[in-house]
Amino acid sequence: MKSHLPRKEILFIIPLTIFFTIIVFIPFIRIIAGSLLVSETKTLGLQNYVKLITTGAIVRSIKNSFLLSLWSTLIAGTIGFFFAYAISKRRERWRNLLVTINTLPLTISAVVTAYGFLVVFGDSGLVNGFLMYFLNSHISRFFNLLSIGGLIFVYQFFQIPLMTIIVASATSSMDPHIEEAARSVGANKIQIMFKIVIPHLLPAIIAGLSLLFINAFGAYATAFALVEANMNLVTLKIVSQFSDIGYDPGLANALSLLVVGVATGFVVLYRVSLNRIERPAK
Amino acid sequence: MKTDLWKVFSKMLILLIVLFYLFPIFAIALASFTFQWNEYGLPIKLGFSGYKMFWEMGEFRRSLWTSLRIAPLSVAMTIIVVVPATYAVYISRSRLLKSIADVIITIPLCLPALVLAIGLLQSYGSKPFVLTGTIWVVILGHVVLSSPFMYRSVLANLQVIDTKTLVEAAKSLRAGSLKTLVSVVFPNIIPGIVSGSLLSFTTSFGEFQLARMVSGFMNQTFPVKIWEASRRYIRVQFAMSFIAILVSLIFFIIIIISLTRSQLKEEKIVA
Repeated sequence: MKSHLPRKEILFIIPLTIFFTIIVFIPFIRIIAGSLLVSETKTLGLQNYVKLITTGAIVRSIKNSFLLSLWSTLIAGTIGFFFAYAISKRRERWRNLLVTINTLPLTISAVVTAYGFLVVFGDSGLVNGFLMYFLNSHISRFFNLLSIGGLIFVYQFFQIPLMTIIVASATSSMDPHIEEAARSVGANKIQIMFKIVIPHLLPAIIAGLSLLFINAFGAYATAFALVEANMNLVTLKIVSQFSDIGYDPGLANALSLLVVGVATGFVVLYRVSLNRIERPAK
Repeated sequence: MKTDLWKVFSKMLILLIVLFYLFPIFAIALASFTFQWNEYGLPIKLGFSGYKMFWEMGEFRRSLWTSLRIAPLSVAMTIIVVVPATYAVYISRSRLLKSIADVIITIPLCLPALVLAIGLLQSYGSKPFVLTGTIWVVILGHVVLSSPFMYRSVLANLQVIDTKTLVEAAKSLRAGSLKTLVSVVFPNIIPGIVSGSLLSFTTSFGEFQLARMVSGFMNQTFPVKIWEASRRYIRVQFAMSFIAILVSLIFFIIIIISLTRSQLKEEKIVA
Protein backbone atom coordinates (compact mmCIF):
# COMPACT_ATOMS: atom_id res chain seq x y z
CA MET A 1 0.00 0.00 0.00
CA LYS A 2 1.29 3.43 -0.87
CA SER A 3 1.89 5.48 2.24
CA HIS A 4 -0.05 8.69 2.63
CA LEU A 5 2.58 10.07 4.98
CA PRO A 6 3.14 13.66 3.94
CA ARG A 7 6.05 15.68 2.62
CA LYS A 8 4.74 19.22 2.92
CA GLU A 9 4.79 18.94 6.71
CA ILE A 10 8.42 19.92 6.58
CA LEU A 11 7.18 23.51 6.19
CA PHE A 12 5.77 23.48 9.72
CA ILE A 13 9.27 23.87 11.06
CA ILE A 14 9.55 27.33 9.49
CA PRO A 15 7.99 29.39 12.35
CA LEU A 16 10.39 27.81 14.86
CA THR A 17 13.37 28.43 12.59
CA ILE A 18 12.48 32.08 11.95
CA PHE A 19 11.79 32.65 15.62
CA PHE A 20 15.09 31.16 16.77
CA THR A 21 16.97 33.07 14.08
CA ILE A 22 15.67 36.40 15.32
CA ILE A 23 15.63 35.74 19.06
CA VAL A 24 18.61 33.42 19.48
CA PHE A 25 21.00 33.31 16.52
CA ILE A 26 21.21 37.03 15.77
CA PRO A 27 21.77 37.96 19.45
CA PHE A 28 24.33 35.15 19.71
CA ILE A 29 26.24 36.43 16.67
CA ARG A 30 26.01 39.90 18.19
CA ILE A 31 27.67 38.51 21.34
CA ILE A 32 30.47 36.92 19.32
CA ALA A 33 31.00 40.18 17.42
CA GLY A 34 30.84 42.17 20.65
CA SER A 35 33.42 39.96 22.29
CA LEU A 36 35.89 40.90 19.55
CA LEU A 37 35.21 44.62 19.97
CA VAL A 38 37.43 46.25 22.57
CA SER A 39 35.40 48.72 24.65
CA GLU A 40 38.22 51.16 25.43
CA THR A 41 39.66 51.63 21.97
CA LYS A 42 36.63 50.72 19.82
CA THR A 43 38.80 48.48 17.68
CA LEU A 44 38.73 44.79 16.88
CA GLY A 45 40.98 42.50 18.85
CA LEU A 46 41.29 39.66 21.28
CA GLN A 47 41.90 41.89 24.31
CA ASN A 48 38.60 40.84 25.93
CA TYR A 49 39.73 37.24 25.90
CA VAL A 50 43.14 38.22 27.21
CA LYS A 51 41.34 39.89 30.14
CA LEU A 52 39.73 36.56 31.00
CA ILE A 53 43.10 35.04 31.84
CA THR A 54 45.03 38.08 33.04
CA THR A 55 42.61 40.08 35.23
CA GLY A 56 42.84 38.69 38.75
CA ALA A 57 39.19 39.29 39.68
CA ILE A 58 37.96 37.62 36.49
CA VAL A 59 40.20 34.59 36.93
CA ARG A 60 38.96 34.24 40.51
CA SER A 61 35.33 34.54 39.37
CA ILE A 62 35.85 31.72 36.86
CA LYS A 63 37.48 29.59 39.55
CA ASN A 64 34.67 30.34 42.04
CA SER A 65 31.98 29.50 39.50
CA PHE A 66 33.69 26.21 38.73
CA LEU A 67 34.00 25.31 42.42
CA LEU A 68 30.40 26.32 43.15
CA SER A 69 29.08 24.31 40.20
CA LEU A 70 31.30 21.31 40.89
CA TRP A 71 30.47 20.99 44.58
CA SER A 72 26.76 21.76 44.25
CA THR A 73 26.66 19.17 41.45
CA LEU A 74 28.54 16.44 43.33
CA ILE A 75 26.57 16.89 46.56
CA ALA A 76 23.17 17.16 44.87
CA GLY A 77 24.15 14.33 42.52
CA THR A 78 24.89 12.00 45.42
CA ILE A 79 21.79 12.95 47.42
CA GLY A 80 19.56 12.90 44.32
CA PHE A 81 20.88 9.47 43.31
CA PHE A 82 20.13 7.90 46.70
CA PHE A 83 16.78 9.69 46.86
CA ALA A 84 15.76 8.39 43.42
CA TYR A 85 16.92 4.88 44.36
CA ALA A 86 15.06 5.02 47.68
CA ILE A 87 11.92 6.22 45.85
CA SER A 88 12.17 3.32 43.38
CA LYS A 89 11.98 0.84 46.28
CA ARG A 90 8.70 2.25 47.62
CA ARG A 91 5.27 0.89 46.77
CA GLU A 92 3.72 2.37 43.66
CA ARG A 93 1.40 4.82 45.42
CA TRP A 94 4.23 6.27 47.49
CA ARG A 95 6.51 6.29 44.48
CA ASN A 96 4.07 8.37 42.43
CA LEU A 97 3.49 10.77 45.30
CA LEU A 98 7.22 11.27 45.90
CA VAL A 99 8.01 11.73 42.20
CA THR A 100 5.29 14.38 42.18
CA ILE A 101 6.54 16.21 45.28
CA ASN A 102 10.00 16.10 43.76
CA THR A 103 8.96 18.48 40.96
CA LEU A 104 7.57 21.08 43.38
CA PRO A 105 10.87 22.98 43.97
CA LEU A 106 11.30 23.44 40.21
CA THR A 107 8.10 25.48 39.99
CA ILE A 108 9.16 28.01 42.63
CA SER A 109 11.01 31.15 41.51
CA ALA A 110 14.71 31.17 42.39
CA VAL A 111 14.49 34.60 44.04
CA VAL A 112 11.66 33.44 46.28
CA THR A 113 13.62 30.31 47.23
CA ALA A 114 16.60 32.46 48.16
CA TYR A 115 14.43 34.54 50.52
CA GLY A 116 12.98 31.38 52.06
CA PHE A 117 16.51 30.24 52.92
CA LEU A 118 17.33 33.71 54.21
CA VAL A 119 14.38 33.63 56.60
CA VAL A 120 15.58 30.36 58.11
CA PHE A 121 19.36 30.28 57.73
CA GLY A 122 20.27 33.95 57.26
CA ASP A 123 22.25 36.00 59.77
CA SER A 124 19.03 37.32 61.32
CA GLY A 125 17.10 34.19 60.42
CA LEU A 126 15.16 31.76 62.57
CA VAL A 127 17.94 29.24 63.27
CA ASN A 128 20.32 31.95 64.39
CA GLY A 129 17.48 33.64 66.29
CA PHE A 130 16.65 30.49 68.28
CA LEU A 131 20.32 29.81 68.96
CA MET A 132 20.85 33.33 70.25
CA TYR A 133 17.65 33.17 72.25
CA PHE A 134 18.52 29.93 74.00
CA LEU A 135 22.19 30.73 74.45
CA ASN A 136 21.17 34.26 75.40
CA SER A 137 23.89 35.84 73.33
CA HIS A 138 24.09 38.24 70.42
CA ILE A 139 27.18 36.99 68.70
CA SER A 140 26.13 33.56 67.53
CA ARG A 141 26.56 32.92 63.85
CA PHE A 142 25.53 29.39 63.11
CA PHE A 143 26.05 29.48 59.38
CA ASN A 144 27.04 32.08 56.81
CA LEU A 145 24.53 31.81 54.00
CA LEU A 146 26.14 34.62 52.04
CA SER A 147 29.23 32.66 51.01
CA ILE A 148 30.14 30.11 48.36
CA GLY A 149 29.34 27.37 50.90
CA GLY A 150 25.97 29.00 51.60
CA LEU A 151 25.22 29.17 47.88
CA ILE A 152 26.12 25.49 47.45
CA PHE A 153 23.57 24.78 50.19
CA VAL A 154 20.79 26.89 48.61
CA TYR A 155 21.50 25.42 45.15
CA GLN A 156 20.62 21.97 46.52
CA PHE A 157 17.00 23.11 46.50
CA PHE A 158 16.74 22.95 42.72
CA GLN A 159 19.69 20.64 42.00
CA ILE A 160 18.46 17.63 44.02
CA PRO A 161 15.03 17.45 42.30
CA LEU A 162 16.64 17.71 38.85
CA MET A 163 19.05 14.83 39.57
CA THR A 164 16.21 12.81 41.07
CA ILE A 165 13.99 13.23 38.00
CA ILE A 166 16.68 11.96 35.65
CA VAL A 167 17.80 9.02 37.79
CA ALA A 168 14.21 8.09 38.73
CA SER A 169 13.24 7.86 35.05
CA ALA A 170 16.06 5.31 34.59
CA THR A 171 15.36 3.20 37.71
CA SER A 172 12.04 2.11 36.21
CA SER A 173 13.94 0.01 33.66
CA MET A 174 15.85 -1.84 36.37
CA ASP A 175 14.88 -5.46 36.86
CA PRO A 176 14.42 -6.11 40.61
CA HIS A 177 15.11 -9.82 40.02
CA ILE A 178 18.77 -9.15 39.29
CA GLU A 179 19.22 -7.56 42.71
CA GLU A 180 17.38 -10.47 44.32
CA ALA A 181 19.56 -12.98 42.49
CA ALA A 182 22.70 -11.17 43.65
CA ARG A 183 21.40 -11.19 47.22
CA SER A 184 20.63 -14.90 47.09
CA VAL A 185 24.23 -15.71 46.15
CA GLY A 186 25.40 -13.71 49.16
CA ALA A 187 26.17 -10.24 47.79
CA ASN A 188 25.73 -7.51 50.38
CA LYS A 189 24.03 -4.15 49.88
CA ILE A 190 27.26 -2.32 49.07
CA GLN A 191 28.33 -4.91 46.49
CA ILE A 192 24.89 -4.77 44.89
CA MET A 193 25.12 -0.98 44.78
CA PHE A 194 28.54 -0.87 43.13
CA LYS A 195 28.33 -3.98 40.93
CA ILE A 196 24.72 -3.77 39.73
CA VAL A 197 22.82 -0.56 40.51
CA ILE A 198 25.45 2.07 39.73
CA PRO A 199 26.67 0.43 36.46
CA HIS A 200 23.07 0.12 35.29
CA LEU A 201 22.23 3.74 36.14
CA LEU A 202 25.58 5.16 34.99
CA PRO A 203 24.29 6.89 31.82
CA ALA A 204 21.51 8.53 33.85
CA ILE A 205 23.97 9.56 36.55
CA ILE A 206 26.32 11.16 34.02
CA ALA A 207 23.41 12.87 32.21
CA GLY A 208 22.12 14.18 35.53
CA LEU A 209 25.51 15.46 36.70
CA SER A 210 26.09 17.24 33.37
CA LEU A 211 22.72 18.95 33.54
CA LEU A 212 23.32 19.99 37.14
CA PHE A 213 26.68 21.50 36.27
CA ILE A 214 25.22 23.56 33.40
CA ASN A 215 22.37 24.62 35.64
CA ALA A 216 24.68 25.89 38.37
CA PHE A 217 27.26 27.46 36.08
CA GLY A 218 24.85 29.68 34.15
CA ALA A 219 22.61 30.75 37.04
CA TYR A 220 22.77 34.02 38.91
CA ALA A 221 19.30 34.68 40.38
CA THR A 222 19.94 33.06 43.77
CA ALA A 223 23.33 34.68 44.27
CA PHE A 224 22.00 38.03 43.08
CA ALA A 225 19.03 37.85 45.44
CA LEU A 226 21.28 37.05 48.40
CA VAL A 227 24.36 39.19 47.86
CA GLU A 228 23.59 41.28 44.77
CA ALA A 229 26.88 41.59 42.87
CA ASN A 230 29.07 41.24 45.96
CA MET A 231 30.28 37.78 45.15
CA ASN A 232 32.85 36.84 42.61
CA LEU A 233 31.01 34.62 40.12
CA VAL A 234 31.20 34.62 36.33
CA THR A 235 27.50 35.32 35.90
CA LEU A 236 27.52 38.16 38.43
CA LYS A 237 30.58 39.59 36.64
CA ILE A 238 28.56 39.54 33.40
CA VAL A 239 25.68 41.35 35.11
CA SER A 240 27.94 44.00 36.62
CA GLN A 241 29.55 44.75 33.23
CA PHE A 242 26.14 46.13 32.28
CA SER A 243 25.79 48.41 35.28
CA ASP A 244 26.61 52.11 35.10
CA ILE A 245 29.84 51.82 37.09
CA GLY A 246 31.65 48.98 35.40
CA TYR A 247 30.25 49.28 31.88
CA ASP A 248 32.27 46.92 29.69
CA PRO A 249 30.04 44.91 27.32
CA GLY A 250 33.05 43.53 25.45
CA LEU A 251 34.25 41.71 28.54
CA ALA A 252 30.69 40.57 29.33
CA ASN A 253 30.42 39.09 25.83
CA ALA A 254 33.70 37.21 26.19
CA LEU A 255 32.60 35.88 29.59
CA SER A 256 29.25 34.86 28.12
CA LEU A 257 30.97 32.87 25.41
CA LEU A 258 32.99 31.13 28.08
CA VAL A 259 29.74 30.18 29.85
CA VAL A 260 28.21 29.02 26.56
CA GLY A 261 31.33 26.98 25.78
CA VAL A 262 31.30 25.22 29.14
CA ALA A 263 27.55 24.63 28.89
CA THR A 264 27.79 23.25 25.35
CA GLY A 265 30.48 20.79 26.40
CA PHE A 266 28.27 19.42 29.15
CA VAL A 267 25.17 19.47 26.92
CA VAL A 268 26.97 17.17 24.49
CA LEU A 269 27.86 14.85 27.37
CA TYR A 270 24.25 15.09 28.60
CA ARG A 271 22.77 14.20 25.22
CA VAL A 272 25.17 11.33 24.60
CA SER A 273 24.45 9.76 27.99
CA LEU A 274 20.72 10.43 27.75
CA ASN A 275 20.59 8.34 24.58
CA ARG A 276 22.18 5.43 26.44
CA ILE A 277 19.63 5.30 29.23
CA GLU A 278 17.71 2.06 28.90
CA ARG A 279 14.03 2.78 28.60
CA PRO A 280 11.51 0.27 29.89
CA ALA A 281 9.86 -1.69 27.10
CA LYS A 282 6.36 -0.46 26.33
CA MET B 1 20.79 -6.56 59.78
CA LYS B 2 22.39 -4.61 56.92
CA THR B 3 19.15 -4.44 54.96
CA ASP B 4 17.38 -3.02 58.00
CA LEU B 5 19.97 -0.29 58.22
CA TRP B 6 19.36 0.58 54.57
CA LYS B 7 15.60 0.71 55.15
CA VAL B 8 16.00 3.13 58.04
CA PHE B 9 18.43 5.21 56.02
CA SER B 10 16.16 5.40 52.97
CA LYS B 11 13.13 6.36 55.05
CA MET B 12 15.09 9.07 56.85
CA LEU B 13 16.44 10.36 53.55
CA ILE B 14 12.98 10.58 52.01
CA LEU B 15 11.61 12.37 55.07
CA LEU B 16 14.51 14.84 55.24
CA ILE B 17 14.34 15.71 51.55
CA VAL B 18 10.58 16.23 51.61
CA LEU B 19 11.02 18.55 54.61
CA PHE B 20 13.84 20.31 52.77
CA TYR B 21 11.53 20.87 49.77
CA LEU B 22 8.76 22.26 51.93
CA PHE B 23 10.49 24.48 54.49
CA PRO B 24 11.01 27.57 52.29
CA ILE B 25 7.25 27.65 51.67
CA PHE B 26 6.47 27.68 55.39
CA ALA B 27 9.29 30.10 56.12
CA ILE B 28 8.00 32.60 53.56
CA ALA B 29 4.43 32.15 54.79
CA LEU B 30 5.50 32.87 58.38
CA ALA B 31 7.63 35.85 57.39
CA SER B 32 4.85 37.32 55.24
CA PHE B 33 2.37 37.28 58.15
CA THR B 34 4.85 38.65 60.69
CA PHE B 35 4.34 42.23 61.78
CA GLN B 36 7.12 42.51 64.32
CA TRP B 37 10.37 40.69 65.04
CA ASN B 38 12.16 40.66 68.39
CA GLU B 39 15.82 41.46 68.99
CA TYR B 40 16.83 37.89 68.18
CA GLY B 41 15.04 37.97 64.84
CA LEU B 42 12.12 35.81 65.98
CA PRO B 43 8.56 36.76 65.03
CA ILE B 44 6.56 38.07 67.98
CA LYS B 45 3.56 39.78 66.42
CA LEU B 46 1.55 38.68 63.41
CA GLY B 47 -0.31 40.88 60.93
CA PHE B 48 -1.20 41.57 57.34
CA SER B 49 0.71 44.83 56.89
CA GLY B 50 2.92 43.41 54.12
CA TYR B 51 -0.08 42.47 52.02
CA LYS B 52 -1.75 45.79 52.74
CA MET B 53 1.34 47.72 51.68
CA PHE B 54 1.68 45.58 48.57
CA TRP B 55 -1.90 46.35 47.58
CA GLU B 56 -1.56 50.07 48.30
CA MET B 57 1.70 50.58 46.42
CA GLY B 58 0.86 50.76 42.73
CA GLU B 59 4.34 49.88 41.47
CA PHE B 60 4.29 46.47 43.17
CA ARG B 61 0.68 45.67 42.39
CA ARG B 62 1.22 46.58 38.74
CA SER B 63 4.14 44.15 38.46
CA LEU B 64 1.81 41.27 39.32
CA TRP B 65 -0.47 42.25 36.42
CA THR B 66 2.58 42.63 34.17
CA SER B 67 3.66 39.06 34.93
CA LEU B 68 0.12 37.74 34.64
CA ARG B 69 -0.01 39.34 31.18
CA ILE B 70 3.44 38.17 30.06
CA ALA B 71 3.01 34.52 31.10
CA PRO B 72 -0.14 33.68 29.04
CA LEU B 73 1.17 35.57 26.02
CA SER B 74 4.43 33.65 26.10
CA VAL B 75 2.51 30.39 26.49
CA ALA B 76 0.38 31.23 23.44
CA MET B 77 3.43 32.12 21.40
CA THR B 78 5.26 28.97 22.51
CA ILE B 79 2.33 26.88 21.28
CA ILE B 80 2.27 28.63 17.90
CA VAL B 81 6.01 28.31 17.36
CA VAL B 82 6.74 24.89 18.84
CA VAL B 83 3.69 22.65 18.23
CA PRO B 84 3.76 22.67 14.39
CA ALA B 85 7.53 22.09 14.41
CA THR B 86 7.24 19.18 16.84
CA TYR B 87 4.60 17.60 14.62
CA ALA B 88 6.80 18.11 11.56
CA VAL B 89 9.72 16.43 13.30
CA TYR B 90 7.60 13.52 14.45
CA ILE B 91 5.88 12.86 11.14
CA SER B 92 8.79 13.51 8.80
CA ARG B 93 11.13 10.74 7.72
CA SER B 94 13.98 13.16 7.04
CA ARG B 95 16.84 12.54 9.44
CA LEU B 96 18.30 15.93 8.59
CA LEU B 97 15.13 17.70 9.71
CA LYS B 98 15.07 15.71 12.91
CA SER B 99 18.65 16.62 13.76
CA ILE B 100 18.12 20.31 12.93
CA ALA B 101 15.10 20.45 15.23
CA ASP B 102 17.02 18.53 17.86
CA VAL B 103 19.83 21.09 17.79
CA ILE B 104 17.39 24.02 17.90
CA ILE B 105 15.54 22.61 20.87
CA THR B 106 18.78 21.89 22.74
CA ILE B 107 20.02 25.47 22.34
CA PRO B 108 18.20 26.88 25.40
CA LEU B 109 20.28 24.47 27.51
CA CYS B 110 23.57 25.79 26.12
CA LEU B 111 22.46 29.41 26.33
CA PRO B 112 21.63 30.39 29.91
CA ALA B 113 18.90 33.02 30.35
CA LEU B 114 21.52 35.61 31.27
CA VAL B 115 23.45 35.14 28.01
CA LEU B 116 20.24 35.26 26.00
CA ALA B 117 19.34 38.46 27.84
CA ILE B 118 22.57 40.29 27.10
CA GLY B 119 22.36 39.16 23.46
CA LEU B 120 18.85 40.59 23.19
CA LEU B 121 19.90 43.71 25.07
CA GLN B 122 22.66 44.44 22.57
CA SER B 123 20.79 43.37 19.43
CA TYR B 124 17.44 45.02 20.07
CA GLY B 125 18.34 47.75 22.54
CA SER B 126 18.94 50.50 19.99
CA LYS B 127 17.36 51.68 16.74
CA PRO B 128 16.06 50.51 14.32
CA PHE B 129 14.63 47.53 16.25
CA VAL B 130 13.93 48.56 19.81
CA LEU B 131 12.43 45.73 21.83
CA THR B 132 14.08 46.11 25.22
CA GLY B 133 11.96 47.81 27.85
CA THR B 134 8.74 46.45 26.33
CA ILE B 135 6.94 43.38 27.60
CA TRP B 136 7.57 41.78 24.19
CA VAL B 137 11.26 41.23 24.72
CA VAL B 138 10.49 39.39 27.96
CA ILE B 139 7.80 37.33 26.21
CA LEU B 140 10.10 36.38 23.32
CA GLY B 141 12.85 35.40 25.74
CA HIS B 142 10.47 33.31 27.80
CA VAL B 143 9.31 31.50 24.66
CA VAL B 144 12.90 30.39 24.07
CA LEU B 145 13.28 29.23 27.68
CA SER B 146 10.03 27.26 27.71
CA SER B 147 10.21 25.81 24.19
CA PRO B 148 12.00 22.59 25.32
CA PHE B 149 9.16 21.83 27.78
CA MET B 150 6.52 22.27 25.10
CA TYR B 151 8.54 20.25 22.60
CA ARG B 152 9.00 17.31 24.96
CA SER B 153 5.46 17.11 26.24
CA VAL B 154 3.96 17.42 22.74
CA LEU B 155 6.42 14.84 21.38
CA ALA B 156 5.58 12.46 24.25
CA ASN B 157 1.89 12.90 23.43
CA LEU B 158 2.45 12.27 19.71
CA GLN B 159 4.21 9.03 20.61
CA VAL B 160 1.42 7.88 22.92
CA ILE B 161 -1.39 8.30 20.39
CA ASP B 162 -1.23 6.57 17.03
CA THR B 163 -0.46 9.75 15.11
CA LYS B 164 0.76 8.10 11.90
CA THR B 165 -2.49 6.19 11.40
CA LEU B 166 -4.52 9.32 12.13
CA VAL B 167 -2.58 11.33 9.58
CA GLU B 168 -2.79 8.60 6.94
CA ALA B 169 -6.54 8.43 7.46
CA ALA B 170 -6.87 12.20 7.14
CA LYS B 171 -4.70 12.21 4.02
CA SER B 172 -6.65 9.39 2.39
CA LEU B 173 -9.72 11.60 2.82
CA ARG B 174 -7.79 14.31 0.94
CA ALA B 175 -7.29 16.64 3.88
CA GLY B 176 -4.50 19.19 3.29
CA SER B 177 -1.44 19.34 5.53
CA LEU B 178 -2.63 22.36 7.51
CA LYS B 179 -6.12 20.98 7.89
CA THR B 180 -4.71 17.66 9.10
CA LEU B 181 -2.66 19.44 11.74
CA VAL B 182 -5.39 21.78 12.94
CA SER B 183 -8.44 19.55 12.89
CA VAL B 184 -7.04 16.02 13.25
CA VAL B 185 -3.72 16.07 15.11
CA PHE B 186 -4.25 19.14 17.32
CA PRO B 187 -7.40 17.87 19.14
CA ASN B 188 -5.59 14.62 19.91
CA ILE B 189 -2.57 16.22 21.55
CA ILE B 190 -4.42 18.63 23.83
CA PRO B 191 -3.11 16.87 27.00
CA GLY B 192 0.49 17.32 25.84
CA ILE B 193 -0.12 20.95 24.92
CA VAL B 194 -1.83 21.60 28.26
CA SER B 195 1.02 20.17 30.33
CA GLY B 196 3.59 21.96 28.18
CA SER B 197 1.62 25.20 28.63
CA LEU B 198 1.44 24.84 32.39
CA LEU B 199 5.20 24.29 32.61
CA SER B 200 5.75 27.27 30.29
CA PHE B 201 3.50 29.40 32.47
CA THR B 202 5.39 28.67 35.70
CA THR B 203 8.70 29.14 33.88
CA SER B 204 7.62 32.55 32.65
CA PHE B 205 5.95 33.66 35.87
CA GLY B 206 8.95 32.91 38.10
CA GLU B 207 11.70 33.87 35.68
CA PHE B 208 14.11 36.47 37.06
CA GLN B 209 17.43 36.24 35.23
CA LEU B 210 16.29 37.37 31.79
CA ALA B 211 13.52 39.72 32.95
CA ARG B 212 15.82 41.60 35.31
CA MET B 213 18.21 42.43 32.42
CA VAL B 214 15.78 43.36 29.64
CA SER B 215 12.42 44.34 31.11
CA GLY B 216 13.28 48.00 31.64
CA PHE B 217 11.86 50.30 34.27
CA MET B 218 8.23 50.46 33.18
CA ASN B 219 7.54 46.76 32.69
CA GLN B 220 9.30 45.07 35.57
CA THR B 221 7.97 41.59 36.20
CA PHE B 222 6.80 40.24 39.52
CA PRO B 223 10.05 38.43 40.50
CA VAL B 224 12.11 41.48 39.55
CA LYS B 225 9.86 43.64 41.72
CA ILE B 226 10.19 41.16 44.62
CA TRP B 227 13.92 41.68 44.41
CA GLU B 228 13.41 45.46 44.39
CA ALA B 229 11.13 45.25 47.41
CA SER B 230 13.81 43.31 49.27
CA ARG B 231 15.98 46.42 49.28
CA ARG B 232 13.34 48.85 50.52
CA TYR B 233 10.23 47.20 51.97
CA ILE B 234 10.99 43.88 53.62
CA ARG B 235 7.36 43.23 54.57
CA VAL B 236 6.23 43.77 50.98
CA GLN B 237 9.06 41.48 49.82
CA PHE B 238 7.76 38.56 51.89
CA ALA B 239 4.11 39.23 51.05
CA MET B 240 4.98 39.22 47.34
CA SER B 241 7.14 36.11 47.76
CA PHE B 242 4.25 34.25 49.30
CA ILE B 243 1.89 35.39 46.54
CA ALA B 244 4.43 34.04 44.03
CA ILE B 245 4.50 30.72 45.91
CA LEU B 246 0.71 30.54 45.91
CA VAL B 247 0.61 31.09 42.14
CA SER B 248 3.28 28.37 41.69
CA LEU B 249 1.37 26.00 43.97
CA ILE B 250 -1.89 26.50 42.09
CA PHE B 251 -0.14 25.69 38.83
CA PHE B 252 1.74 22.81 40.39
CA ILE B 253 -1.54 21.24 41.48
CA ILE B 254 -3.12 21.80 38.06
CA ILE B 255 -0.06 20.19 36.40
CA ILE B 256 -0.36 17.15 38.67
CA ILE B 257 -4.07 16.77 38.00
CA SER B 258 -3.66 17.13 34.25
CA LEU B 259 -0.77 14.64 34.17
CA THR B 260 -2.58 11.99 36.19
CA ARG B 261 -5.61 12.31 33.93
CA SER B 262 -3.60 11.94 30.74
CA GLN B 263 -1.23 9.05 30.09
CA LEU B 264 1.83 11.28 29.95
CA LYS B 265 4.66 10.82 32.39
CA GLU B 266 6.08 13.95 33.97
CA GLU B 267 9.65 12.64 34.01
CA LYS B 268 9.52 12.41 30.22
CA ILE B 269 8.56 16.05 29.97
CA VAL B 270 10.83 17.64 32.49
CA ALA B 271 14.05 15.70 31.92
